[in-house]
Amino acid sequence: MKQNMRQKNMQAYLFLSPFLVFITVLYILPAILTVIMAFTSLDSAFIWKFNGINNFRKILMDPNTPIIAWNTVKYVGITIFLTVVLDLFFAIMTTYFIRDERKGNIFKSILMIPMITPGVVYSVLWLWLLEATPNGLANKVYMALGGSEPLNWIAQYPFVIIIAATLLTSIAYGTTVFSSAVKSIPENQFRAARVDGAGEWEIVRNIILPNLRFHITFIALWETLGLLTNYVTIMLITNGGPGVQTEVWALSAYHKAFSDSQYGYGAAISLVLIVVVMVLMLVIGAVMHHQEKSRS
Amino acid sequence: MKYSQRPKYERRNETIAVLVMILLCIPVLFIYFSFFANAFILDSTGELTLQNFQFLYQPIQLSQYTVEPIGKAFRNTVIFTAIATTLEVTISCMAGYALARMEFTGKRVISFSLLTLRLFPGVLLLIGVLYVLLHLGILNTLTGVIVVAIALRLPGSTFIIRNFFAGIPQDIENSALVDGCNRLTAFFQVIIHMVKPGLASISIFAFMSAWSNYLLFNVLIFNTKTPVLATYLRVLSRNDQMIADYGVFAAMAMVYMLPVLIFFFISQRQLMQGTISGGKGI
Repeated sequence: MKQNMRQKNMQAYLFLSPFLVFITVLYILPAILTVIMAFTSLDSAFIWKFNGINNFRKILMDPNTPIIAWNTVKYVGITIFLTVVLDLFFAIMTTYFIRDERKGNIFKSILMIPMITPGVVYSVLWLWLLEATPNGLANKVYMALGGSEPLNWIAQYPFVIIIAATLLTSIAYGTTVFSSAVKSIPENQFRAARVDGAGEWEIVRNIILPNLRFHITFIALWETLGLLTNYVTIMLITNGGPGVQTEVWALSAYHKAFSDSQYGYGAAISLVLIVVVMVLMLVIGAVMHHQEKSRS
Repeated sequence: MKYSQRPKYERRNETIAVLVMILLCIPVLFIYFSFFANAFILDSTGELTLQNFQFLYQPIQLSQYTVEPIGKAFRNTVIFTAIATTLEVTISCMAGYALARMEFTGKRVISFSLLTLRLFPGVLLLIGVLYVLLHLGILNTLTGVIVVAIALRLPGSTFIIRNFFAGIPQDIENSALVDGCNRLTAFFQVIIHMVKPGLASISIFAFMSAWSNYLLFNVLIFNTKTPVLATYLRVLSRNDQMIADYGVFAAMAMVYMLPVLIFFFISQRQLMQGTISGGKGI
């Protein structure tokens, strides 16, 4: 029996070893290093010198910190809210109202286009659209609608623009998830409601939304996790500017570490975010656990 | 139910919904088409041209910069994407199979870490990763970026494929084993064919994310000796200064996006399924 178990272990770890090597070297080791680095003044010279909690003190003293923190809350909060609302809208439109799966899928595919556009192209698309000259497409539309002067959109509304740009790329995921959830609602629930005289709005509110309750919670939390840590879109469009108007927490860690080579300080900023992310992960874990329990 | 047999209000609602969706999709499509149309228009005169595509075969002059032809960046991107995708799929398949199908000491711990890692955003660890690569001597190389790209996506892919493996009835595997297969031959001859949809969806996600990756090259490569398409395009369109005019850029972007679009149209269905089964997106 013992022999057998050992053989089983050998076999399993043969399959698992590449995975475990990658995870250990590029997840666990960097995680430990990041935590240690956060307490050093490591820079491009790569000399490890511990400086206690100085980095964290520096974060607290930096006059930009409250602005960046507030930007992050605003950016994540507004984007999440709009993402979930739009996801629901598009899922209900393409799955509940458009019963023809072929047609629904065409629209869902179009919604996926911004998501599959590589970041470096997607950002230039926005810069081109919002060009400050009268030749910019947005300005042409604006002036055709009665605007007198061409606007410098990115300088004037940087925050709105990064939210809009992020929103467009994040719609596809939630819409697909919600749409498959809508599809799995038994048809007779809708029919029974109609027999009782319910209108479409009541069906959406009293049947579809309650059925999607867990999916909504899940997507909201999941997208929050993504928005907190994904800064590529912002980096490519405004790079945090003008000034620090669109700088968010994850982007500021990137700037400190990779633009200014202050690895220790950057690691400390990351570590703060990692703690927030871990709390969020606990919540997600609890939600998924709860969902599994209520299903069985 | 056939369209003509469906109740009248349902058909009416569907027509309205289709119209609303068309109205909402038109601006997005219009923006994309107008942007890419720039590729065929000469910036100075506005006439139709293919001149913007000169970067395909010869160095071009953009203000004071000389831009190398795109060939090298294209080749590097293909190499990077091919290796990263293949290894990611192979490794996650092996691990997913073991976690779904085998009994071994430490299974609970590894399964739990997989769940945790799937949620954990690896990009937060890039500073530590940079240091590890420096010590391994692969910082600033394509190899370095490849291993990081694989590692960051492994938990997600492994999680998806593990669920596909877990869905295969145990009996099928048992009968393969009885018929004289050992674990390895059973895996390659029988089991792997049953998770094809799962394989397709993780491969698509792996391909798409590798092909469009910009962040890792930006952070882990400091010179211009190893250009990929993402960094090649980015150099010409930095925030402070747009070096390429939009005509040339749109032409380059078209070359960059074409494989993605082709892949997208072939694989839409799997892309949607993969998303539902828990893909992290791109």
